[in-house]
Amino acid sequence: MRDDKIVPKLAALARLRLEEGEAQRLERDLHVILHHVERLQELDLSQVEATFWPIQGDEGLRTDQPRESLPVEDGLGCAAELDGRYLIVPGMREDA
Amino acid sequence: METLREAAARLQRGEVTSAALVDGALDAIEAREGELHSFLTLLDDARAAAEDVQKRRPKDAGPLYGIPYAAKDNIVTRGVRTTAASRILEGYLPPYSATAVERLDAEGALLLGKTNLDEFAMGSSTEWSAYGPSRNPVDPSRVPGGSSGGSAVAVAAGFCHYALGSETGGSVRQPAAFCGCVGLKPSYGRVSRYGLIAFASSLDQIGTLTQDVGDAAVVLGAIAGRDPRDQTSLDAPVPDYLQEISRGAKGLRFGVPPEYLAEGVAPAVRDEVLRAADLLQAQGLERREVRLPHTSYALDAYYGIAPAEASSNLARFDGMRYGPRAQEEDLIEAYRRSRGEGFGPEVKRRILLGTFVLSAGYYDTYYLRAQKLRTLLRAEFAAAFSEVDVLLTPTTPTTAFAFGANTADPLAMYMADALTIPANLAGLCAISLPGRPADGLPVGLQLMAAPLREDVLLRAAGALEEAVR
Repeated sequence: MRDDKIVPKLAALARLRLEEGEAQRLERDLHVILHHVERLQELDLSQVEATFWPIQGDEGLRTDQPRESLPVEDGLGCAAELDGRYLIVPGMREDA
Repeated sequence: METLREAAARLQRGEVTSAALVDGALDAIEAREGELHSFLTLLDDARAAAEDVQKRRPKDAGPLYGIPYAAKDNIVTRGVRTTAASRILEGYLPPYSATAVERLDAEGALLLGKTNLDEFAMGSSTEWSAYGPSRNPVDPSRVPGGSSGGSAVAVAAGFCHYALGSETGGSVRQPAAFCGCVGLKPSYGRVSRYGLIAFASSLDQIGTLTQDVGDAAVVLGAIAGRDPRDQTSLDAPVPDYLQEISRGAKGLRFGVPPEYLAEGVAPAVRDEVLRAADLLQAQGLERREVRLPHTSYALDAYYGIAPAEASSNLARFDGMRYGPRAQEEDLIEAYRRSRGEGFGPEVKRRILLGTFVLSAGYYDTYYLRAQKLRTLLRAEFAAAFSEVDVLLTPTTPTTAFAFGANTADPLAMYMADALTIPANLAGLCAISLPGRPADGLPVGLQLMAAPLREDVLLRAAGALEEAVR
């Protein structure tokens, strides 16, 4: 990772606004951490399958039938702004 | 402090009431909580709830009935403020409870409060809590460990009989080691993750902090088992773990992998592990040689995997459905400012790291390689567990460090979890129990066992605990 503009790009992807100076600090930290993770390049892993979950096998899908679930009003109870069962959010700027 | 089993026996004999247990807890909290800051929320109605369960006490009440406990504040509790120690969840009142909490409720357990943690469980000291750090009850100038630091402090300081914590890379075992209590990380899939605020879903697991190994067995027995609301919870039999411990550990085989005693492990910690190995042999366990050659890469793999999962899981916190929302005209700006103001420095670091390793051009180099290393670790552990029943190692390379020692150097902070992370990557069960202190500070002894072999793990831990005492 050598790109000076990488943190602003990542912050834009992650929808994070960073303060003045924060990007530089994070740039330095990410460089140090990723340098450490790059140690994995020492290993020949070309013939190794990836493990994405620590448990193997098919736990099966649940049956497709209605069951008790959280009432919508409860699920929306902590939202910043509501109109009945709908979340109210700011609009999208066309030039954004 | 007495164990929960001792408290249960006193309740059963009518020598004490649940309300008196809560009063005792509140007195202890009153005396030291100002200094230690283990709780983010204390329930106002804990005493009234104690009186209520006392009145309804059934004849066949189980060992958890009427006994106060605490839960880490990333475990949701219906109607009780849950923050994950983050500003982004300020004011959040969950409309449901985690399965683990529901199961304790069903046993008549009394929730006393919600404990402090590093924000979203990302940290090893509680210094990343948005609400200020907790302090180690053994030496308040030192960190209690993390991220379940508040739970470890509450148990070690005698504020409650036991607590729930959560693990992603050692967040139960590491603070247990630093504070001198017992921390159990169950196998992946043993305990439902429903209601545990997700950090890294392929690693997260709810665990326990207790006064001793027997109490860990009791609490695990109550919260373990298949939950239809968590598809990764396993439908495996849950043994009577306390009865398993009573079988003793004679004849079990153990190994001390030399890779866990390598450079970076403090001499006093290493010496204590070697002493523990001698004690296990004296208890009738057979020692065998084992090697785990890829151990030193586990930390690298973890930081290729956990932030990737975190960046995805934390996308839901955008100020729209819960927590404070920044006032902006534009939706994207509202997201950016709500998240920028709501998340602390360590969470931002990990979100950006995760976004990076998942991005085009870097996925194969970082994330995929890390997942492949995980395969090697699993294979090594499987080979080791064909030779031995449990592995004995240090829980942490050092004893509790001073405040501020690692906050400016993320890698130094991450090293505190170097010896606990492998168990999470491989989905093992593992436990930390106190050894002999070094320079007055607790030393954690770690035992690990194969997935779903908590029975063997707790038998060995019970024997080691008895020998260390």
